[in-house]
Amino acid sequence: MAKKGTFSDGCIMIDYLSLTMYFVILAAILSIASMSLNLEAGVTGLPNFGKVGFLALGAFVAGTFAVTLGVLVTGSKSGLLYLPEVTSAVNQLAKIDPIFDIAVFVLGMLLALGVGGLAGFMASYPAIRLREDYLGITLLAIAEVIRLMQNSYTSIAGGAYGLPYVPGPFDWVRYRFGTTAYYLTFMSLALMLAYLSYVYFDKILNSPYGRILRAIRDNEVVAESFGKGVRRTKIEVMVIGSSFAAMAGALQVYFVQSVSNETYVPAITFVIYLMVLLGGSGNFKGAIAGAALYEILDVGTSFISPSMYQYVSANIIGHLKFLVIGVLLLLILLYRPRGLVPEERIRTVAWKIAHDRKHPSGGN
Amino acid sequence: MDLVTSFVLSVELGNLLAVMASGITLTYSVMRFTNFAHGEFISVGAYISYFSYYLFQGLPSFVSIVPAFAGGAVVAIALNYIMFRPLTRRKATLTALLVGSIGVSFAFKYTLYILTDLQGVWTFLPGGRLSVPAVGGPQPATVTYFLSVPISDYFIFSLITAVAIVAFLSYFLFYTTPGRFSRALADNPELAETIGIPTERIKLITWVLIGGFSAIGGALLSPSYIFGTLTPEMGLTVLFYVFAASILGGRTDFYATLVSSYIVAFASTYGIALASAYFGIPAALQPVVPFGIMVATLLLRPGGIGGMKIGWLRRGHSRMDVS
Repeated sequence: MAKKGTFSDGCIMIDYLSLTMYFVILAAILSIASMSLNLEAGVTGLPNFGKVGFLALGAFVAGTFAVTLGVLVTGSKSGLLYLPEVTSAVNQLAKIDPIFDIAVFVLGMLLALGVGGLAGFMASYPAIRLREDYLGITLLAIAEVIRLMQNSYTSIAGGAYGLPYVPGPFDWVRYRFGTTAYYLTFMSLALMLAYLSYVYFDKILNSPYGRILRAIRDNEVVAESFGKGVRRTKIEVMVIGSSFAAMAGALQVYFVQSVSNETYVPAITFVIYLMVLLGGSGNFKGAIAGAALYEILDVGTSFISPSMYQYVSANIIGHLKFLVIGVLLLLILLYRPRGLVPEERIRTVAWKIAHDRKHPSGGN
Repeated sequence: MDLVTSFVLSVELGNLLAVMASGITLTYSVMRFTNFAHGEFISVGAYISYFSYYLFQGLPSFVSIVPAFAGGAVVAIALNYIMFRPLTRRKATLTALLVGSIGVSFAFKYTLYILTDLQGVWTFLPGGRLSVPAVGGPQPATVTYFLSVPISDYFIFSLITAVAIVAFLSYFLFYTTPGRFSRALADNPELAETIGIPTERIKLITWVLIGGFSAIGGALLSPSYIFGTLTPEMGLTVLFYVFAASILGGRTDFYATLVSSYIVAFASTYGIALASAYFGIPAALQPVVPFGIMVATLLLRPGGIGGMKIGWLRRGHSRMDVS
């Protein structure tokens, strides 16, 4: 998904600490995305095949906002966000001004959250009307339309040029205290956001509302006949899921600090789907485990690639990764449809009281 | 491009879409699921036609549809055995089947990518590589002028193939024994098995037809360069046009699929030309047209045009009830 510049130049010394933190950050970002897909697909049974579109939307909004704000603050004349002089001016500002960096980050994330929620609300129009397979195709198409629109209009995140530089929240840390400190701060931030998302999603799942979601997945007619507002619930789930996906997309942009059109191809949706299925759909711990496992696969292939380049071309390794993803999807569906961490029972208040009585020491 | 040439090109695109979309329609008619790996049949057919152009030099280039049919059929049978049959036996949900077909699609597509990147294997191809050169590709079409309209031999051949395949599939499903069996299978698999229909064999026959015909579509598509040069990504690009044609046609009606293929083809060539001329919309947004058709059909008229009264198009009972 992201550029791994560290590896591109052969035999320089690799900073393993920063590298580990790099992958932990990516895993944290991906786990937010996979948890949001898990809420939609795993818990509620809405096959969102357009997840990448919402990630992309968050990324485009956050990236455009950040650079535009930089242009406004630096007073640059050009309206084109991908030009080198604009980029370097914004970069100069971001290096020295912590307030600007953090303001950009907070506002950009909130903006992405809002836009994602709005897009989710619009995407819920088909979601409450169509059957699973049609919904899958429709959302896939919507995600592709978002990508194509961005590719065609330079006003959206630089168009086909992309955004070569986006100011991140801790650029000033990197400038003042070095790369390791930068990675450390960003990692704490990403992990905190991932943890907060987990707490939030887990709260949803273990509430009466979460039981409505599961009921809708298992039997929509029954849920409807018990007086649960199925349509309304599906809209809410799409809004929540999409806003979190957009937030993950924004966070990713603030981490890799660039926007490129090629990142948001439909295949990414199914990479996230693989994480959900691998971890165990319907279980948010599983979604995190899936993201971590995928990132380990990613690290593995990254380490293999440079050492294998003398035997096969670099392309083949990249393709092999997606081949493995396809085969893994199939194998999980065939042999482990419940994933590595199977779905748990819902921890209702009554169940908790009974559980605490049985295990007074507080053991699980 | 002048009006006449673009008209001929749109009709050719319509023919090709009809060939490939009839495969999707057949999948839905018999298997009742949406196959996202359908694009891989198309890619395989396209590569086989490129391949066989150099392998069988001297023979007319249409001969390539025979190995393309065989290759597509093999891929479809493989899909049946590694994904469709085990998943349906495990009573998997519709979503699981969709995700499974995407897994198969990844596996096939990236295998194809790896094959195209191999060096020193494809010695009989120009440059020794399976990657198609960007300019001046193979399989030149013989262009004849009919009333000063340039018509390539591929155009005529694709027209014949499209009509023949649609007519054959309609005949097959409604007037032959395996076809009737397959419709019974679609309606009620348990009942079909109970009354002694050899369900596995019927499914296999259907997969052969689906894969084979779609691969023929791919084989005729690659020399037309409508979707640019041949890459393993071509199947996915075309897939959305094909889905749009099949969905607009109502998903179970072959004649309606034929008509809607032309609608999709004309809408995507002329629609985007008009939009860029009058509203300044970039031509790169062409894929949005089939997306729009697809989404609009699903939301406004899920039955497609198949349920409409088009008089002369209706062949008695050529539409099955969508349960």
